[in-house]
Amino acid sequence: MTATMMKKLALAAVAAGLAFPAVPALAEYPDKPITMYIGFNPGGAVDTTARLIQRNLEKELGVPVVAVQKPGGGGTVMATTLMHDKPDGYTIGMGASAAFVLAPLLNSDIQFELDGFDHIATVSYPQDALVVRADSPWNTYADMIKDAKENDKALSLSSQVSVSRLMAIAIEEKEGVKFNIVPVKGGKAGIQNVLGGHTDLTWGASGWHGQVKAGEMKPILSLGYVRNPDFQDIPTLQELGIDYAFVDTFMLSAPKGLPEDVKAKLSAAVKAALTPELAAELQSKMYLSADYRTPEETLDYLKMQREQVKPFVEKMLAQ
Amino acid sequence: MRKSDIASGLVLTVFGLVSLWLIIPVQISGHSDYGLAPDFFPRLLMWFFVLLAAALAGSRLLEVRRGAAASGAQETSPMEPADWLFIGAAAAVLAIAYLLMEYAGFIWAGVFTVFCGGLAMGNLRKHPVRLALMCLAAPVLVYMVFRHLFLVFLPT
Amino acid sequence: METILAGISDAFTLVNIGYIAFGVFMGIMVGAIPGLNGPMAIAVAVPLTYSMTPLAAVAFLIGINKGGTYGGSVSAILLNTPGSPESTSTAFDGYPLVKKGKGLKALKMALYSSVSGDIFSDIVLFTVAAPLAIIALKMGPAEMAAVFAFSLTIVAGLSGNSLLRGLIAAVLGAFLSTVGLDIETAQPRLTMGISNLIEGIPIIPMTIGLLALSEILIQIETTLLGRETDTGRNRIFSKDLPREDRRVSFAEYKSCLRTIVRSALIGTGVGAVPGIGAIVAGFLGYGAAKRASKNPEEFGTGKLEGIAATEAANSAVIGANLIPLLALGIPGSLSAAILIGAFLMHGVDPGPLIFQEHGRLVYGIFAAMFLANWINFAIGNFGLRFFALLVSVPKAIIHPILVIFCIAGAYANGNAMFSVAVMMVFAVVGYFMRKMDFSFATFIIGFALGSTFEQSVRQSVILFKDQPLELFQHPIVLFFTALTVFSLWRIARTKNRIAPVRSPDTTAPDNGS
Repeated sequence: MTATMMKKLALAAVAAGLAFPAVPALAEYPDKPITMYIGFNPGGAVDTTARLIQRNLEKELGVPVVAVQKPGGGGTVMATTLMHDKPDGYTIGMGASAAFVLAPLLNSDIQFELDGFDHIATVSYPQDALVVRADSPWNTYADMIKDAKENDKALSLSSQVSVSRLMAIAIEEKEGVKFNIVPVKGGKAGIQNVLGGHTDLTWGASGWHGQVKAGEMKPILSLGYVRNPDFQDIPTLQELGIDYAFVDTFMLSAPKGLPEDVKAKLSAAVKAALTPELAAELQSKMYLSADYRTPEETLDYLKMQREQVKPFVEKMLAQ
Repeated sequence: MRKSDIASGLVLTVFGLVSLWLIIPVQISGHSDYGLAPDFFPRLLMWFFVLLAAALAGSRLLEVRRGAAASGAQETSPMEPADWLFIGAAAAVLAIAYLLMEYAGFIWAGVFTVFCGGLAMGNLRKHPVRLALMCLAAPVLVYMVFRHLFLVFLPT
Repeated sequence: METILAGISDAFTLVNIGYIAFGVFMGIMVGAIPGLNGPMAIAVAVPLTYSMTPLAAVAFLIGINKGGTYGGSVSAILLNTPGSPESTSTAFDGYPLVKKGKGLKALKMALYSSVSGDIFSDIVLFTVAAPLAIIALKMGPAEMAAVFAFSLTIVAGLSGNSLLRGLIAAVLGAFLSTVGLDIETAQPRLTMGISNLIEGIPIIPMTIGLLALSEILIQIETTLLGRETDTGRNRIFSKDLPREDRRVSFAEYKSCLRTIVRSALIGTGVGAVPGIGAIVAGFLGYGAAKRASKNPEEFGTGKLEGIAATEAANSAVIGANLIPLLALGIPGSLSAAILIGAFLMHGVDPGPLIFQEHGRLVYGIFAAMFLANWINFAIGNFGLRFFALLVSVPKAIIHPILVIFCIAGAYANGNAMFSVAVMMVFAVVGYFMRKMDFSFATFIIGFALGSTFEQSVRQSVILFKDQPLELFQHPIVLFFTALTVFSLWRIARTKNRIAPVRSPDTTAPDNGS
């Protein structure tokens, strides 16, 4: 390497080194990459939704959107991380409503509240079901309850989120049966436990559709407010006479204190990103229904969910 | 190894006892409705830890008592004063690099770190030009590789 | 049959081969750089695959995965700084070989055994995926707890000079793995009020600090304090080296074949059961080889078998991870989970129906995997020349630059300064562990197995607390419990190993511990 070449290289290095830190702070939002936390493990419904919407968001906002996995606690890990970040619109998080609605109610150690965030938009909601293995003697909810009562049998449930824990409590309360709740990490672990015959039941919003279609599993009930659009013959728990429903809706949130214009811009970007093509893709690939809501509507929806589950949470905590 | 085993055994025993009586009770709360409590495993493991650490210190102490004269002389300590100085300095360099990265960005932290590393490896005396080139080129190169190849945007 | 042939011919297009080659190349790179790893690269690469056909996309991602496991061994062998935690024990014997001037031999052995392990587990995947997946399903919480308990007994074999110190390190690792949200009550444990800790201590930044940066610090220290006279250039290419030191002869490969097959079996088993992971597989393979060997004391001094044992085991995990994924739709590992996401994005629902609905694609993937092994072999063999250049660069240049790679790599895990802090803290911890001769290998095993072991034990307690006797109807539990007891008995019988006072090797950091 000649001396002049070295000099050139050194000059280039100096120039490049100086260029980076000197970005003016005045440019219009967004002028640098946005970090999007994903509150769940890769391969699940939330993750896939986030990654599908990520490229459309990039198109809308004109900057890279970098996805960072923050799984754990059904979205609570992501929410806790997010609340400590700067509310400048460069850190947003894709999570699910249970983390915001249920976690603060159930757990005094959780540092955040439902309205401790600026929720940007609702994105989609999943089709859920409580499932059993195909060779289970139970075909319906009534079979399950009857068997448990007559044979004085505890029903074992693999549970990855508090949504299904509360469901168990609501059923215990009404029917006088007993559940053994086995905590698992992630919905797939629940599916695995049921397929392997280690627990009787698991509830999930993803992962069961293919198993049911393949005849490996049977759905018992759903926790939706209405029946699942693609699985019309699964009754909801409300139809079965228990007033508990919860739809773990996927949403984008930001730390509290987001400037209004940034929030509006992000929310509009999400709305535009949820194109009809993307909605169709979500529906066909993941059994997810696209459902855009504005920041205000999203907050109202969360509050509505909180009011609905409150009685069951109180019962659970009283135990 | 004996002296360091005794010292580290004692330090670790104290650490374990502090964890058992002060840290775990404060840092783990809650009870289980169905099975083992959340603090069951941490406590169990810490008890193991304390027993093992005490056994380490104890067994070496016994050996020293039994055959002190036999092999004690040839022993070298794994941590001489120079080692303490080195790791202290290294930790300080890392801490400064962390702060630089947080407040001035990766490139400046990188320049600083490479300079310190290069200095320690004796570059300044022998190859000052090379050291300067390394300091300037390496952080920028790493930044570019991460940004364009792995889509990781290091802080600026 | 027609589907199979159609699938295979789909795979053999120039575009696919190009993507696989690119994937393998990228995998080797990220594997070799401390801090970057296969799962991370795959996650980054998934968005790049939107425009590809499903087959090309999956083939590309699997290529990254396969390249990544070999890449990890490169930096482990050449620099004693494992690029990924699953290659930890590759460094034990690889680096001593480099010091003896046999670096090229070590690299080649790593490549051959890595590819052999890969091919083995791929063949298992192609032929017996379905029945094996059914067996894997039998692994419930109680079975997993028994398997983990047995795996923990390898701690004894990896403890190095002192079993007591090895155990202390392992217990500390397990204790630190309990930091984070409690699985049942979802309350944070031992987080000291640091919100970043609620997801636990991140393992990748931790291992970068413990394995890579602490070793670099020690090597810088030896130079700085003038404890090493040679300037630290390890020549592995020089023509003056005898030819047999630069290659792996057929006889040598053959003598490691038993080890390779044993490790490949272990890796395949570990990969087929969701939730154990390649890190544990690498250690299990190494531990088993040491246990089976007639001269276990030679391990850690530059034994080819040690490299073969680790690399065959951690590579075999890759193919086997797809067994539960394709047969059941359940990912066996983080990379497999990301692959599920990639499948879904291309409209393929992995699971029991995939063979019926997308049979042609599945056979295409099989063919692509097989192809990827040979491409890995070719690129790896060709790349050896370039990797070796790395060690012919003076350490005075390499070490400072590696430090910033460690920092950048740590940051890349979660794009957070917190990861950098974790990496730095564990670099200092690792420095003391190396100096005081506490095994960081057992520490990592304790950490990797601790939380999953706790989880499965607590699940088993909930399931069996009312009818503990039912456990006797679980043959897998009984088998592994018996195996555990047997191993413990064997360790206890040789317990005179607990106390010996061996003066440590003062010239070089002890790699065997």
